[in-house]
Amino acid sequence: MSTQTPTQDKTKLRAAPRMSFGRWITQLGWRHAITIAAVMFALFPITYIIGVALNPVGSLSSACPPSKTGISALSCLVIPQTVSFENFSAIFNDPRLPYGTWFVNSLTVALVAAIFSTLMSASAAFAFSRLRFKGRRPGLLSLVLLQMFPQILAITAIFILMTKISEVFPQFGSGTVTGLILIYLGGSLGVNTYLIKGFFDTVPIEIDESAKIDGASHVRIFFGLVLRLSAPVMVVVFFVTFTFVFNELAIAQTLLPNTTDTTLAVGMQTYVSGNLQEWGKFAAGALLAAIPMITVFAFTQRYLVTGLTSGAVKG
Amino acid sequence: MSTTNPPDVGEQSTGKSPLGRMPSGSVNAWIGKLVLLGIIDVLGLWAVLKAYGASWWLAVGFLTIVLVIANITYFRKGGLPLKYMLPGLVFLVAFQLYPAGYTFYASFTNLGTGHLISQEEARASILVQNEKPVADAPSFDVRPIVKGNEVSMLITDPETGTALIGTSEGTTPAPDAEFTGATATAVPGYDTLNLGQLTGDPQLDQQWRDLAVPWDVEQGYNLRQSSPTRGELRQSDFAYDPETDTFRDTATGAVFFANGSVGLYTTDTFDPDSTNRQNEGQFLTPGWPVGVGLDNYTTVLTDPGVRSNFMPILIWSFVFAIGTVLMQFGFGLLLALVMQDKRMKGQRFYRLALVLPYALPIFMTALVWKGMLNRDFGIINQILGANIDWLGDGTLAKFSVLLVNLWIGYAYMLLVVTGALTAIPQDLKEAAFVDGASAFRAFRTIVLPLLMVSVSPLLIASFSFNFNNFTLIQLLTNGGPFAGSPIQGGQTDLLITYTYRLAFGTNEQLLGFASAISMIIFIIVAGVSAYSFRLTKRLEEIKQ
Amino acid sequence: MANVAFEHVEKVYPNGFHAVQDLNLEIEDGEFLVLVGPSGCGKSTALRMIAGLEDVSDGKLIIGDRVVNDLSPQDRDIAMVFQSYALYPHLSVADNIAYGLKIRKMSKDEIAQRIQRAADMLELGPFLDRKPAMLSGGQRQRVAMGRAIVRDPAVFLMDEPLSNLDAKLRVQMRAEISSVVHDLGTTTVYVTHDQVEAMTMGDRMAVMKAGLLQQAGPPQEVYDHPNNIFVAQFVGSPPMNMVKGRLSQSGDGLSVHVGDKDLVIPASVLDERAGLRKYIGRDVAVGVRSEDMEDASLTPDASQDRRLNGTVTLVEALGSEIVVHFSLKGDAVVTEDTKLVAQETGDEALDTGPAGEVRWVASFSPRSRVRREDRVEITVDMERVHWFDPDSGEAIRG
Ligand SMILES: Nc1ncnc2c1ncn2[C@@H]1O[C@H](COP(=O)(O)OP(=O)(O)O)[C@@H](O)[C@H]1O
Ligand SMILES: [Mg+2]
Repeated sequence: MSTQTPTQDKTKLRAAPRMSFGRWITQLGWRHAITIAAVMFALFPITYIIGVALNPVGSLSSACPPSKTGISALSCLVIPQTVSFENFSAIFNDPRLPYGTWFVNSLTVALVAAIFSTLMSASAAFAFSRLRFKGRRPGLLSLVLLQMFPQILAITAIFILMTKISEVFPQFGSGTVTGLILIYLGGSLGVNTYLIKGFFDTVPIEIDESAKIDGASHVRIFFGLVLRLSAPVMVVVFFVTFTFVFNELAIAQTLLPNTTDTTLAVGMQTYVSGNLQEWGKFAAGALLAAIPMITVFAFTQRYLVTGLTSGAVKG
Repeated sequence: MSTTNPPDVGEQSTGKSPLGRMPSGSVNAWIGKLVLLGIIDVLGLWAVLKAYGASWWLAVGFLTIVLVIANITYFRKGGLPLKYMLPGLVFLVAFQLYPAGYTFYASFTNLGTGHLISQEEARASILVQNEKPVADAPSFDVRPIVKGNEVSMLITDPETGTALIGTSEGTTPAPDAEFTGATATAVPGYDTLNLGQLTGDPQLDQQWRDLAVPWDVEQGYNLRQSSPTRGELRQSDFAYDPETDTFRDTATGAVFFANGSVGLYTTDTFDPDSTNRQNEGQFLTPGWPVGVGLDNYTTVLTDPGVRSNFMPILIWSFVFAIGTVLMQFGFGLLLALVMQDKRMKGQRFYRLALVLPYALPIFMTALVWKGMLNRDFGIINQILGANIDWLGDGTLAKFSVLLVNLWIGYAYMLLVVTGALTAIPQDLKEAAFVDGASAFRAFRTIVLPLLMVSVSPLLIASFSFNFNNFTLIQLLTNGGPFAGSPIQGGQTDLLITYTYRLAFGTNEQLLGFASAISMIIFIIVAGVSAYSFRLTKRLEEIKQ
Repeated sequence: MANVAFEHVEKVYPNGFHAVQDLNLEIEDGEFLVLVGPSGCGKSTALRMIAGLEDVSDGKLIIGDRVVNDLSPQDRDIAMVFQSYALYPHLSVADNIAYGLKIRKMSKDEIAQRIQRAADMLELGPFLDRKPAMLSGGQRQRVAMGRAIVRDPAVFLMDEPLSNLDAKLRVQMRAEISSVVHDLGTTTVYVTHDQVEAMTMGDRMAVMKAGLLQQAGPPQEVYDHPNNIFVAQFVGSPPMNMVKGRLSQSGDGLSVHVGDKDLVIPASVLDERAGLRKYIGRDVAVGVRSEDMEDASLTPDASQDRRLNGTVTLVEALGSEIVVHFSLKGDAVVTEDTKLVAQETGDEALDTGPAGEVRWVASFSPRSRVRREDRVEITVDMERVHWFDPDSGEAIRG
């Protein structure tokens, strides 16, 4: 344990005083203990699912032989019993449950919805933050109110609307990825606009004014200055929208109920519902499905902490 | 720069925006704008025409207004706010405001199974659904033919042997039809569809199946396909009288009139307070949606049967949402505090590992937990060496749902709290120590209140999100376990999953009723949020 | 009330940075000590060790008669005024002031009384119900003071409490803090980088540089008898003028050659600074404060052997005096210390001009008529000239 005592680099001017072991326990040791327990809580479902994915038998019980119970079963969480990539190739070769299609659909819907929603919300937020016009306050208030009416509450109406749209515009109606994107675009604007506006408000107006004096157009001020300076909140909004859309289940399964052409959120549950208990395939698919979100998270997490709190506080 | 602009391109050189006089983009930008608007106009016009063709007046109106406003907005000088807001506004109105408004409207109707279509469509449907083949009628040779996207019927009249083109309007002679033997099989200007083409295109197939060609209006005979090459004459059991808007049962003579209070054609002995079964034979289906006033709401609140389903779900929704927020926040706060000591080694690894659950899709983690909590094969029972029915017992299922949601959401709170804690000046804590406060007291009286100022809006948002956390419940328990039938609600049902089941989950869709519950959810969430925002407003005054 | 003593105190930060080295300093009961030095020299670190906000790495820290090294802040009976004031933003002024008293479970009446007294003393009465955010900078400063004085602690600690105020308020609060603290008679350690505050406020000042205590003593004594070039230049405004001079024997006495002039060192000085004799034939650093020079045309009686010639580069008439910047033939004294002070004060007078010239600042009587670009003759009060080793920077004394 003593290796974890803070020791000083010998080359430094002078070593900081070493902590005694007792002191280490009372000051830092217990912190490590709690954190390590939490890390185990955080990681064990993940290590478990990796084990299931790498097991070619594919049933829930095969991830850990039933003979192991108690403490010995814990080892299944750390060491996969077998290593095989059968499940990974299997999910791409099942025309009834076309994992590849789901994956592409989910990624498309989430990316397109997140990008456009972020841009549209930002430009609306720019108007609310920088321009003065009649109906600005009521407009803001309605946005706040609308935030409390998530689309899932209007799912009946959305279903009816999209059914009607698909009669007239089959390209955009229910059953199409485009239709789903349209719905998500409508839904995320209310939430995001208010959040972004709060952040824009903290960018000093003097910056706009000086750019204006330098001859910049409003378009340039918006894209070149305000958006740039608000990068953290833009990133956060992108991340939040991407995550929301990627995970959304209710609307997706209402509009894309057909497993041959749907999103991951809707499709994944079919592996493990009813008589089909394909846990191996599910686990493989789930691990791949995590990649887009982890990627987006990795790119955005630098901003997340500041963006999440500042947006909410200043909103 | 502005001198090189075309002198007459509106706002570009002469516009006076609320931001003041602004020289604006180059000629290229202006051409770009023109092209973009051109594309939108073309697309928009196409959509208006399609909607017009389908007689969907709401869409025609909306699209026209949007097109007009868009063109005015982007070609006129000034009006900057709308320039920035219009794109978002269009989507907001179409896919958020309209559905919200429609939900509000629907909550006062009996929209649902048997009341889904308009009265006009209901009339047609009543006739069609009660059609029977006409006895002793001759059999027809027919062919599906298509022009554009419209399917028509090429008919060989069995009596005269001549060819006719039949549509839902009636028949017209087709003298130039080509015959194969005695059967007309093609006609110039139309494509004849074969079986493969029909089955390959569900839309054409549906049109073909729905096509009813009036043959003998007096008798009420319609000619319909019975296969891709055969047609038969059919006649409805009911005769419709447009004068009185009534149906008459041709066999019994019973008369059904349009009953506006229930949205059905009913006899005058129909009793609106009885069940459908008791009214058997007294009404025709389908009906159409009609306003029922506050019925849906009063049913929720007063009907003893519904109430006994609704109240436990309402209470559990609150317990779940509040419990989730408290647990996630508490655990996130605890970890943030524990890891606050900068001397602690391995912080980067810890944070990475601890934040991972936040970066995983919920549909993945909820289902993984479902597997782990499985009674027979789940790893958790295996480790415990037990046989606990985590998701099958009401109380345990509630506990499991909360536990899983803690796992899913604490990382978000950890991120947020860490950020908020670093924003609190170190000075303040030190001042409290110097003032004699213990570490715990300084935390309780200084750090925690300041922390709450910055995180309480997020806690409120988290409450509303979890109050409607459809995904987790559907994937983990689907609302169960169920004591009775799913329509009565399960032990872990939230209002939103319950509502969804009412709307889509069973054979009988109760859309109006589901909408009423949606409105109730909205009122609850809005009320709780407004109340808590008022509370935090007071805290907010601290800053600024 | 209590004394505070540092005995061989060391502070090494966890990253290995040695912020305070072998600090020995005793602050007497009831004394007002000002700890001064350029920023980053370890003043705050020293103060925060007294407060218990930083661990003492080595040595002993004593308050009263207790070694407090391992006591937590709340057990040390100290009160502190922070540079940022550190007012609790969610509490009213009254609650801010009462915070420490409530923790000590004082009775409500007693708390109310004390708040009232502090409010009277600091004229905070009308603001007691306000939140800190609704106060001006000066008012916040008073609240911070109030929070410290109601506690009636054994020691007051103040870390640059005036640095966030504008110049005028600073002068006013300077006087106010001095008088409040002296009235209370509480032992006080006051940290500042502003030598004016150091000169005017304390009973004693302690000058620090790079973690090391340079000199401690009553302000005037430090001013008159600086231990080294650093103290000499850091204390006093403008900083002490320096030039290199070569010492030589002249008859019985000594003289110093500066530029093209020879200045004779009076016998009284030699008695006091016997060590000067060791420098015969070598360079010394000659330091002259601006007020120890005068326009020679106003002192016609002054002998030739205490005169210097210079060229006026700038004249600032302040009414009560005339500040004259001039260049003088001679070699500049350049050590780490002179650079550090130049950096700290941002004073261009310390810029060494062209080689072989130094820039000096003198304050003349308002009767002087010198103008820019005049050749000017200056008389130096040779009794008050300071002498330093040009390499070590140490004062040359006995
Ligand atoms: N927590 C710390 N860790 C490492 N170095 C520090 C820390 N706090 C201060 N220092 C360094 O110690 C030196 C003295 O700091 P401080 O006492 O705050 O100076 P000042 O005299 O300006 O108040 C500075 O160089 C500073 O960079
Ligand atoms: Mg400092």
